[in-house]
Amino acid sequence: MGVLGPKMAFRVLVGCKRVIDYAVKVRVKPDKTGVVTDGVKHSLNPFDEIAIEEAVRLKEKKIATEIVAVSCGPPKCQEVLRTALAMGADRGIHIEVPDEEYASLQPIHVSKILAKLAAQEEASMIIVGKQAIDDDCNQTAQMTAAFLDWPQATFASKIEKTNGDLLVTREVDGGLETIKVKLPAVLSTDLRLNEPRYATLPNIMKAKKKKIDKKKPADLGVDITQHVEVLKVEEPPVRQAGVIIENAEQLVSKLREAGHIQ
Amino acid sequence: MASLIRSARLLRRLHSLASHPVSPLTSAARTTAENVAKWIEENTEVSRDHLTPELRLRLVTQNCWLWRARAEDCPYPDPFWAFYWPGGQVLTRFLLDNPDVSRGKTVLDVGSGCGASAIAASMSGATYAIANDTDPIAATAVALNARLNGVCAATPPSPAPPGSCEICTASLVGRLDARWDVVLLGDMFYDDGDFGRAILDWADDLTTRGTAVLVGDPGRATFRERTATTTLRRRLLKVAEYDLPRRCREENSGFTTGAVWQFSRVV
Repeated sequence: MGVLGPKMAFRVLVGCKRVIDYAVKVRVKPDKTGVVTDGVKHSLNPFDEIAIEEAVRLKEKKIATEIVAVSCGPPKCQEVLRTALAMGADRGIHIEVPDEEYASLQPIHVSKILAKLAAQEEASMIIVGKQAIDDDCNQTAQMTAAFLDWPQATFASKIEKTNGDLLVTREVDGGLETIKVKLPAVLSTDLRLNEPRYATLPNIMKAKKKKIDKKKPADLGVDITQHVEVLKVEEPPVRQAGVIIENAEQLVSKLREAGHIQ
Repeated sequence: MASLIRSARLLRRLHSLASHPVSPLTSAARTTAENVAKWIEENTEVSRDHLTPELRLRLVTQNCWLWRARAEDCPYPDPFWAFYWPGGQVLTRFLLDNPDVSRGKTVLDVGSGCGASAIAASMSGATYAIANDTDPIAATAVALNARLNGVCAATPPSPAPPGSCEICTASLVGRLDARWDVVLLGDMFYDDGDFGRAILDWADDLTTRGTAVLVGDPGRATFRERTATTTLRRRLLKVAEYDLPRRCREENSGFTTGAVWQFSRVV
């Protein structure tokens, strides 16, 4: 699979997680077992949206030949797959995980699923968001690469194709790092990689005609036994009210009162 | 919103029934079709911004509110006729560039949508062009588009004079008719289930009987997969390939080109 000739299929697998919409104010359940999801607006994880956009751009540049969007979870995941299809993915795969099991589904399970699918679909590339905005795990790309023993290029802010390799610019603490990876590879997207397109009605309508296959984790031989137990989920501490200070003297006396200065 | 429009239409229909006691059914049907036509005219735009600028077509464009609407905001379900599909665009371009394909022939356009291919066949000199789409709203859209391009549209039971574009809403997939010289399949290979298979079997039967079958497709995975067998690939001849114009690419994220394929007979 090393060198990809012009006639070979270049299939891109894209992970699409359904998460609580970024604009929603998240509330913790009274019993502290998790957050309220019933009746809350959900959408495609914004970093996964960037991943789909990048895959579509690769297809428009005639590098990729097919984009397969994958989502794991309850039936409502098909909504985010439809979004991905409207943005330009060719087909979808819905890995059915019932609500009860979905609560304990972790990146390790999703990574195993993606790795199995990549082998089945003979994918040349996997792109996922660097993290999901609900659990902020930032693990799926890395573990998927490990399971497949493929190179990884995480936090990508620029992707270029050169012959059989990819030149990826990564956003790291010190600035930008450019690395060369061989294909097939696993990539994760950073915020500045691209600006995802809006799914307009003509695209949404045509997406209805694209197919979504359904599979179960067991069909892929993936065990989704719970490994991590959530002990409790709490709201972040409520910000204390501030005071308005009239002048510098008042500030100094307040700081002195609070023991911040002598 | 959709239900409001539906009830308004129902009211108008009831009114027309009351005020036209002589032939209530015909008049009601006409009123409904007239309302549909009015709605299409009010919510679409005449566009030449596609691969066949010779044709003026009523479409939902970026200047229409529906462009940015949700699918459920449209009072008519699945208005596929409101968009000019990439497979249809390349097929229509091919017909206009090669008038001999339709001249003097009876051309059937299956899943005609906005009707562009059937209209192009008429304009290229087809004796009869049949725009076939099972969506009755599409039928109204085709009639409007035909008239916009100076093509006479005939809706049964009125007879179709030669040179006209006949509009048919029956499901024709699988049927055989010695009348058809050319069958057009623009963007019909989106389905990988039974429908896709039925279309392919039908194309096979038609070709065997001497009907020319032309396919327009922007490289859909379903079409590629379905025709991946060696026997089928040998029988499909690519007769043209076009770059899709910018507007079409925007409406069809991920697609940049479209090809026209002709089925050849089993040898």
